[in-house]
Amino acid sequence: MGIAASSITVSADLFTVSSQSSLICLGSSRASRMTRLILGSPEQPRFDFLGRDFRADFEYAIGTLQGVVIRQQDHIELRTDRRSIVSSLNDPPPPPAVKGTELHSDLLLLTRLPRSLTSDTDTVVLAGVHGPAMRAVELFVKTMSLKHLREISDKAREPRWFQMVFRVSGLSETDGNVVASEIEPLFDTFRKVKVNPM
Amino acid sequence: MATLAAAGGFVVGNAASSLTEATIERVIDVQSMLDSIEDALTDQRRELLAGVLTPNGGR
Repeated sequence: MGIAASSITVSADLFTVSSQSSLICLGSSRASRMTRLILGSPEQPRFDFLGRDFRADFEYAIGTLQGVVIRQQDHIELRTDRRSIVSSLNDPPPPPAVKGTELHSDLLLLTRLPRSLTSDTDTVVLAGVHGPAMRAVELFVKTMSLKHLREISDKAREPRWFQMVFRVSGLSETDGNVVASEIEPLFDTFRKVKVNPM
Repeated sequence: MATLAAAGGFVVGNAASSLTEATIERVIDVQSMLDSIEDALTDQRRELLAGVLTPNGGR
């Protein structure tokens, strides 16, 4: 297994990717068009998605809370709405910790849906509530304990389509960005995504 | 991202909706970072990540 990073190509239109391929999408519901298509916008989160041959209903999306968060991103002071994971069943995980307007923790939402049932492909969305969680995908891939990865991998055998939330913490400013040093899976947020063929 | 690509076929980042020179530079920066991640991963971690991300191994 292994595709050289040099094989990454930049495309202006993500929909040129064949439905015969699975997709892994990195991006918040603010910045990423694909994430927004599935989870809605922070102002109008949604909990269902119509694929080309299925309908998926899920519990979590990203929504806005009252208040603002101010942080550095790419050496620029960024002021955003305060956001969190919202739940269609009114059972969300605790929101990112904020003191004043400063973010002290963040949440990363992993959503795995079908891309196409007939081609047996998946769409995986990794969406940070705020920027630090988005950057923490690096921690997810690189440093999360093998024990935790194995537990998630085992859970994700059945159901195949699911959502799960990760808390990122140890936030500090490094080179003009707020970055996290720790990521922790919140196992009690593991939720089955209901998928019905259409 | 190389490992994510290996697990899932294609990876779509924030650049999908608008491409600017700054965005492309950022993608290239990210690519350098991901090269270093790729080098640091063990086979066991790759296998587990594939299980979490795409159980059919991607296409």
